Amino acid sequence: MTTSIDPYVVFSDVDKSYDGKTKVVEGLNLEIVRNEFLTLLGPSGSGKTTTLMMLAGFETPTAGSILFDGKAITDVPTYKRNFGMVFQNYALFPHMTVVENLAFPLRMRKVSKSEIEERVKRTLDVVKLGEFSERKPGQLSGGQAQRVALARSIIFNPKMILMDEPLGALDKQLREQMQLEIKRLHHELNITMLYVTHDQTEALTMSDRVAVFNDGKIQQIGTPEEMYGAPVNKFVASFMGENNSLRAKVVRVESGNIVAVYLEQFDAEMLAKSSLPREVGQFVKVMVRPEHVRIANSGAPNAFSASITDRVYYGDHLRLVFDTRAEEMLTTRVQHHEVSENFVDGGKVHLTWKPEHANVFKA
Amino acid sequence: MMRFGVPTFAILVLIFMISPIFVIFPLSFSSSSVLTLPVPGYSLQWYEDFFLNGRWLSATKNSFIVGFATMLIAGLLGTMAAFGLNYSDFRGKKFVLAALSLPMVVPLIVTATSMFLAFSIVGIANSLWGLIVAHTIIAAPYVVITVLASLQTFDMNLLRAALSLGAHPVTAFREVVLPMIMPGVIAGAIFAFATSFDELVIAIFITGPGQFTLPRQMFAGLREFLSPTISAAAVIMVVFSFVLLFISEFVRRRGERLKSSTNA
Repeated sequence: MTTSIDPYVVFSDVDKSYDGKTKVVEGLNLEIVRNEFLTLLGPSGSGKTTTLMMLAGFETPTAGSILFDGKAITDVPTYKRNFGMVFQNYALFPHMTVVENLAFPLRMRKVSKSEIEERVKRTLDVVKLGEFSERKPGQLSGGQAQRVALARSIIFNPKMILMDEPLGALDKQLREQMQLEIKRLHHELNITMLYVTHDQTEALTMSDRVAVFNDGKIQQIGTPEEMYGAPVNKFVASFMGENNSLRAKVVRVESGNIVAVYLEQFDAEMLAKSSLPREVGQFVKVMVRPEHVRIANSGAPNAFSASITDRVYYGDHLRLVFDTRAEEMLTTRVQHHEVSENFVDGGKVHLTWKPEHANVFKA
Repeated sequence: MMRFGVPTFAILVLIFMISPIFVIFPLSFSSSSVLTLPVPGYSLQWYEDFFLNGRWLSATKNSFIVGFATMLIAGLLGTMAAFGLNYSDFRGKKFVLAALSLPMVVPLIVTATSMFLAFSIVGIANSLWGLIVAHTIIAAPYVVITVLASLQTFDMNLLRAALSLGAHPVTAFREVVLPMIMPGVIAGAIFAFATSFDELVIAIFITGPGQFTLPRQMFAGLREFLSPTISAAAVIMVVFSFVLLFISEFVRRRGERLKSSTNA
């Protein structure tokens, strides 16, 4: 964890409960570093949005404290916090034009008329929306509306920007375009951004660090590479990107972190990596990314044979789905030049993986 | 059968509902001093009487004073209550809501009696102030209901956005919430005015001759000195009610247009 370098926001032991019984957020400890792009990732109901709402001042923690720049902000009302916010449904004021929407935060800060005019014009140029300045939000497309919302959240030089699923309402292409735009703004403005999403691709592509939430707790926090490559538990492994999941039994503990596991379904012994010590005879889950499951020659070491149940064409690659038991999954990606004639339903294929790519978790 | 039957039936029901209102129109132009149909001839004498008679003029003035005051106070209180109820979630919210709409279901005569007794103790019986307070109490629920309805479609994130952009909660309400729920507020205010404008039972209990409102004066006119001037007064009230109806319909349509443009 990054406890050493200048924590800008510190959540210490924060609990949040709406009904006094179930905790939506429990024992949250989180530090946000100045100027970083931190993403809170998790399924709905995992506590990520509540965390953002507490930082924004719309919700009060039931217990614990939140420090901003060294000062407790729990009692500071939202309008004095100076955080820019972007919402999923844009939350542009429908009765105001684009210009009036952008001028709103400046007007609230009693900025002079001439300066408002100038700053609005400059910001419209930054987000390339000059020609839409006199339109009402209802006359904008989703992408344009979200650019206006972004512009409105940065125009008053906020101390930080909080975004709550800002791209959730946009279609895929526009979403990817906006991801780049937000990333660009983050670099240009040199500002701290806290981003909430349930989309793991978004989290991986945009963030400096990602915090994965589940059941009101942070499961793991780290760089996208760390999260994808070395998930600490089953939840993170399956939530960040696709992952195969197989039931297995530990048969031998080798040197280092390597354990040998027996896959009953395939009657094979395979090597895998375990970050925690395991005991022989213990039932575990082995998780391997589809791109790390490779086709092997028969007789190759650390390999097993599986039969194909489905092949799916993805354009740039082919995906093979293999026969497994319920609650298990095994797929692999195959490039076009690797395709062979026995890739048909029911065909038998030898599969392998590098031990360091297969993670062993508690079953 | 269905194709012609249903519309015909609907039209008949409509006629049944509306025609009694229109009976008053020829009566108000009657040349006779007896309220009888068909009218023997036409004249404007009852309108002349209405506009020259001090009693009728004072009643009209009182009706408008009480009506507008009720509209303002009930509009303000009702809007605030609706916003508070919509915004916050607390134990007993349903109870508060039920209590607020109580004046709509309690028989008016009961409300009127208890108000008369209570107001006598406080010393505001026999005053326009008493009538304004009483009308505000029975009119506010209408405002609460119409404003709550328009808040149903209000996106609370707009309020959050305003706060995050540095608006004080009061400013945020005035600049962002109020413009969006204005159709509901205006409709509620018009309802409040109309409620006060045609209210008789409480007026009978609370007003003395100096504070007679139009309905109270008409009631007196029927009982004490039966004069066709009451039919002229009735026509004026009906016309005014239509004006109110058109205003509220106009506001509603404008609000819908604004709403449809935000959801685009």
